[in-house]
Amino acid sequence: MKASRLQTVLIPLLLSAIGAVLFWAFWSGVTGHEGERLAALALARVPESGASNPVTSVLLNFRAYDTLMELAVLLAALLGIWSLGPAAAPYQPAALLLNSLVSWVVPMLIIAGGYLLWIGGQAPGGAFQAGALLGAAGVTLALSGRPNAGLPDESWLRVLAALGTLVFVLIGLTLMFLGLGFLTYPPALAKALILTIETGATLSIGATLAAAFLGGQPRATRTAEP
Amino acid sequence: MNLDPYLPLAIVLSSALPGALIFFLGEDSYRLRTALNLFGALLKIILVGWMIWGVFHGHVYESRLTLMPGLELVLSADALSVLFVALSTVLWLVTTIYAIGYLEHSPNRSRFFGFFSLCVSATVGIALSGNLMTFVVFYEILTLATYPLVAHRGTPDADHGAKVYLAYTMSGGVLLFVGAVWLQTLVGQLTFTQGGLLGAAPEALHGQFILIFFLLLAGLGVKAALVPLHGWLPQAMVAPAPVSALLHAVAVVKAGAFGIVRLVYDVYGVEFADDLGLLTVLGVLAATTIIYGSLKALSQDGLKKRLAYSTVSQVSYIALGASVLGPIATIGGLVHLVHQGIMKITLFFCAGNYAETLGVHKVSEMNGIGRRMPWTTLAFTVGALGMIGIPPVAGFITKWYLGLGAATAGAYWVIVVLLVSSLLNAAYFLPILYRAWFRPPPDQWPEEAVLSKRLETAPALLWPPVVTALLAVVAGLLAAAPFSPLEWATLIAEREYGR
Amino acid sequence: MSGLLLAVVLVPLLLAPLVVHPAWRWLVLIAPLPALASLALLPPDATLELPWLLLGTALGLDETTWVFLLFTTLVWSLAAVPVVERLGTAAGTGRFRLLFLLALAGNLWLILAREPVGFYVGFAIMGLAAYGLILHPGGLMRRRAGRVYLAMTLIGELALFVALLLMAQTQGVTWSLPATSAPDGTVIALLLLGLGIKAGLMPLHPWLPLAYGAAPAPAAAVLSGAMSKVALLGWLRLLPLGQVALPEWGMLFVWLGLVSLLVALGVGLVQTDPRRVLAYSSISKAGLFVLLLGLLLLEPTLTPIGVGALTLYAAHHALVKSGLFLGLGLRDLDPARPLVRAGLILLALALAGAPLTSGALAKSVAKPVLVSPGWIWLDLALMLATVATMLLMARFVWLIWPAPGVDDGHRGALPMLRTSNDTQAPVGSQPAFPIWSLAAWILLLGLVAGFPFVLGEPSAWPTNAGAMLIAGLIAAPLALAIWRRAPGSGRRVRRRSLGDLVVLIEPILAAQLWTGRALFGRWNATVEAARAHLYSLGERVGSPPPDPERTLRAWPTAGWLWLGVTVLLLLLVLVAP
Repeated sequence: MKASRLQTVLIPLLLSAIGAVLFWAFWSGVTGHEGERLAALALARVPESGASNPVTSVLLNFRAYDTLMELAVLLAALLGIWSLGPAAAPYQPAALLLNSLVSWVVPMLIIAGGYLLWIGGQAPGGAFQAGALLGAAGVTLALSGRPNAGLPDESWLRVLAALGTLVFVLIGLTLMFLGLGFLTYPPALAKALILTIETGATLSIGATLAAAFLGGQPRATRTAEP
Repeated sequence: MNLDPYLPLAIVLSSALPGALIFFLGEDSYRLRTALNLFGALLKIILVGWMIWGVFHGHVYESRLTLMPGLELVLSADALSVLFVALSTVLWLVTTIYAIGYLEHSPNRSRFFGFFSLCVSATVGIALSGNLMTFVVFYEILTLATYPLVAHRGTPDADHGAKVYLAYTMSGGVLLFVGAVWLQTLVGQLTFTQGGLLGAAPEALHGQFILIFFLLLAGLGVKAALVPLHGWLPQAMVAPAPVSALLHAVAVVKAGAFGIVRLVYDVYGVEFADDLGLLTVLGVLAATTIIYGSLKALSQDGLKKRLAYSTVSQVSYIALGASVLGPIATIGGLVHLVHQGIMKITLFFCAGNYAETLGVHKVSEMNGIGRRMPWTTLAFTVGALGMIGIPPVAGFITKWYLGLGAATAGAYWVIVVLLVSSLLNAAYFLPILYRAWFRPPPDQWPEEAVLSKRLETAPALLWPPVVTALLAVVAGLLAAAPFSPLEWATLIAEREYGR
Repeated sequence: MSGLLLAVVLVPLLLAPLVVHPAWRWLVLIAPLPALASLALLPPDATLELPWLLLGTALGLDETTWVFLLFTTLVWSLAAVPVVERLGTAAGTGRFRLLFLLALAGNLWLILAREPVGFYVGFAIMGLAAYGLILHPGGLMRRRAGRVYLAMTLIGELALFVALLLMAQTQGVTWSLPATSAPDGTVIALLLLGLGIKAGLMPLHPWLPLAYGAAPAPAAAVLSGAMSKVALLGWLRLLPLGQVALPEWGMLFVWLGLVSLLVALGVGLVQTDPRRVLAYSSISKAGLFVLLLGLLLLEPTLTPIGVGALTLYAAHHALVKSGLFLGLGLRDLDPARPLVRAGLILLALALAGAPLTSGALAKSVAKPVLVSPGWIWLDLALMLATVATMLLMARFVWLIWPAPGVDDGHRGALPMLRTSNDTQAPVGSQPAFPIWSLAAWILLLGLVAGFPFVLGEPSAWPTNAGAMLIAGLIAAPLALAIWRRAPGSGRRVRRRSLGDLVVLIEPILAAQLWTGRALFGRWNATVEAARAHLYSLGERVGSPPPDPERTLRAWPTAGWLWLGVTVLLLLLVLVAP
């Protein structure tokens, strides 16, 4: 659709203005006044957070609410994609070479994902990374001709996609009802809670990414593939 | 074990949990769905009854949930909450029965009843909110829970109506949220206190308080259908009749009006608001809405549209009562919360009956309908007479107290508004009654369906309006009896002004 | 025992839904019985308090109430007989009976009420229910009459509502009637307006001739007999009588009363429908009541006598007027029946105040009040009024006298009301003359005839003899001349267009409605135009392109951006501490 003159001028102008504001904010944040930097505060409290990896402790404990929103955004994106209609036709079934490669790669991806999930507490890793690997496994399966990227049929897929957000919200509400505050973990239970949330999130993210790759609502699974 | 802190929470959950369960039921599990619905409704009535008794004797019920330090979700029961909760609960039971009958053969019933229950939970949450943030949270939940109800039919009209509804209410929600956050940063936690909590704030903040009042009023005014924010209400009439009934009488519009009452009495405090000159503005807005709504209603031929504009006009009586300083006017506004709910729901039930049984959607098609459906039309007559203010239906009590309060406060223009409004109400309700009772019926109704062999329509459709019409008359006749809405409103006013 | 007072109101209310069924229509006769029972059995000051009803209700009797209750109940009971007998089981009669009983309940409630809310409730119920009574059995004329009646009744009710509100302001939410409030000008004006509409005071009267002309006989009987007296009761209860003298209000009342009294008689003389003649007679009597009230306001010491006189006059007028209307109803069925004709003449004489009738008694009781200020012009006006009333009644008798062989054109044709779709007078299709209605009517006649002899002293009997003579001297030659068709006597009376003042007001109101609608339509159109304008602005900007990133993806653009951002980052790294 032809963009009008007004638009070709207006949009870049607006974007530049926003960009300038963002740049100014970043600049003043970086070069700004002395004072207690948030990073130092966070680093000091990492040992109580239930994970020794500072990234995980920020993502899953100090800024848990933001992560919850991110999971919700993923879910919303998936719903948006699903509202576009049925998925495109699957790729043609893979030939021998690709098939055998896939049958080696996918399990390894899954194991790697599991490892990243576990190690995320101490070293770089965590739910999103593990989920990405699982998603990659799904993409691989899709590229090699599996009609639904190896995902289960729709009702189970819905459960999987919502699982991460659901677990997160339930834990938050339970903690709220117990009087601790929404998503305020008691230090003793922090590690276990983080792990639970991360597990749910991993499954969810993996399923979401794979399903998103399909580009539409999954078709009903036919009889067994070759 | 002291159950007091859990009671408000239990009341909210008593319909939320069955509602959540209903979503997962199949379309054909009619019995289980009805059982869950009725179980939730009855449980709620029992719990609310317990709470009324307790509040009357001065018990304190409060559930606190900490979101984070400094931000708490508080559900607490004071006299005003109890008024609204009791209204919602009783009318929800009646509406559930009606909806079960109305949607007998419609698709997507599980979805409908699931959201229906969530809607009532949100309403009850609004009623029981103990501070402004909790109110805002449940207010938004109400918007989201009612949107699918408005769009239920799935026709292009329904989609359009729902879109307009969402646009208006979301914008209102944003304004409300901004106002609430702003106020909270100025004053701290905004717990609803009888007598208002802003009166003690320093003088310098008064300018900001005025601005915030308008923000909050705009946010609440969307749901309360204050002119010019009322545009969504006539469009939302595409929803099925039980939804319209719920929206207008029980949940959405009442929530907005309730919010305005809370704002004036328990956040700002009525005397402080008067000092800032805010009551006059509210009064003018309310009066404009009353007259405008009635004028628009005169020109509508669609029955539900006419009732929609009538709601726009009538709900502003509550705001009008809140805008006149003095306990008597307060009582009038508060008691109208209950009375208008009962009368309006009767009218909508009857409109739904006419549509379902005879395919009659317009006033011009209603000739002689009193002969074909006498009980429904009788209920409609009671509701209409109450709206005009004819005793002994409950509407008369409201007008008496509003007028008396206005006279006591010296605000004689309010009496003029009441008079004009009564005349306009008569002008658009009496012709309907004349047509229904005194004209001969047509040879054939637009779309007659035989819903019952012995009664004029299905029992689940017939009993709710008859019961609510009876309630409207009883609320008027027994206004001076203990535990009547009037007595309860008097109690609230005493606690508010007596401090 | 005081519970009987509650039954007085409750029984008609409960019976109302039952009498819709044709088989149970005789229950209408039972409805006024508790009222009669309470008159007979209860002490004259019985009260019943019901603090839980409405805003606190109290019902009770006192002297004035007792008399009002008596004649009201009599009128309703006797009118109930033709309702059951004559109206029978035709379509719409169930509705009529239901509304009849509702109006009865309202009437009785407001009479017994000892606080304002109860009074208002009864007033409202009665006023609304009467609308349906006027409307029966349908037709364009009746619809118009009903519309005018309803509009004016609503205005009257609202005025009364505001008056009661303002009174409650100084006295709390409820108080016990009769009121003892400090006189307040606004309140008095509103009471005059609100209750004046009900009474038919000029210029608030236009609904009255229309309604009395349109309603079926029993309805007209209760309208004129019982319901119009309600206004008087309201005034007696709510006006600040017997306290401070109010010279300006008193004079206003006197003048308004006089205008009604005289002008109505003049208008009534040129009517061609006997019902409308009676209507104008009622209007003039309402004027008399207001006149008396004005005199009481001017001279509060007369209040006890005045209240007694007014009550007696109201009782007399109620019985006579309802008797006249019921008689007209009987006459419709059989114009030549001599019994009916004689009864009507007797009642007309009573209304005119001929000596030895109840009218004369009422006049004589009221005389002390009327002559109290000693104004000569007042005395003259009253004399004129008496003569005119007698002439009016002569006109009435003339109209109802079905002299055979006389061309209808000379006497004035019966109005259109009679001929077209009026199921009241289908001469020839009525199987039998309603005996019970006739019996009830004769009972009423007996009461009226016995009235002066039972209640009055012999000195009152020859009152008004002089006036009667003068009236007779004027009327008799006129009647004789027209009857014998003397030359010059055949002048046509100018037909008053039906509806009196309404004919003036209706076009004005219609024009205002039309303007309002046009203006409102203009407003709506403006709002719509503004909305369309807003949408078109949106169109001008256009919807955003579907793929805004396309320009950014082009290699040159992407390349430059990439370079630019990298340079920026390097700068930041170098500069930041």
